[in-house]
Amino acid sequence: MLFRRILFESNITYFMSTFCIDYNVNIQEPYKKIMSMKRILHVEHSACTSQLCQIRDKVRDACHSLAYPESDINLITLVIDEACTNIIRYAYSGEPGRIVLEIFQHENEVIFHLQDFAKCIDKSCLKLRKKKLLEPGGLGLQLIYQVMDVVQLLPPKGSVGNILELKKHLPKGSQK
Amino acid sequence: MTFEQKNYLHYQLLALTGEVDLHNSPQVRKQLLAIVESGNSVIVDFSALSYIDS
Repeated sequence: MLFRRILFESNITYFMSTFCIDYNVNIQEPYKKIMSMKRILHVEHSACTSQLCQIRDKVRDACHSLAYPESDINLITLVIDEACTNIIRYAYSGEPGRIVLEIFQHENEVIFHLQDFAKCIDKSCLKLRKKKLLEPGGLGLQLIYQVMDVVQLLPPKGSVGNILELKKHLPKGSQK
Repeated sequence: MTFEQKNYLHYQLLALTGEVDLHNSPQVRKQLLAIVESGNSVIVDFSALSYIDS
């Protein structure tokens, strides 16, 4: 009986170690949060200015499905477009590349991930610099900070690329 | 995005329609510069524009 029990338990241990993925071990800390969230959108586009219109359409549709107020939808669409524009202009510098946009939701928390596969950028690139009103450049970043609740750069999942994480809470009572 | 240019009093009126982004803003810029460099004053009509980025 004891032998059979030991054999049974050792088989269970073998099964667990062989077939079960321990996400806590394999997933980097910043990505743990989204594991428990519902993925609303996952799209991949070439990092090309002609794709911006399609990306905006998909963001608008996703935000409508999340029941954001119309004013927020317009601002979030603007923010994602600005972020994509920065990726095309500065991360890829006009070279070919890809942009992955994912949206995750849990209750009134919504997270937007914009991933590129260009060289890793320094976190200081996300710092706001004081500029004169009519000085060109940097307005997109200001808009991003003004509209979103949280703006941060995550460490890349692989050896290259950047993930911009943006959070925008849904107004209480509006989530479906 | 489309645009239409016409005379309005002693100005050039540039009416924009649709969405302006990084993809098509160089067209708008080129058109505006052409008007200004020809010595005209310009009025830009954004009323039919549904989207414009920074």
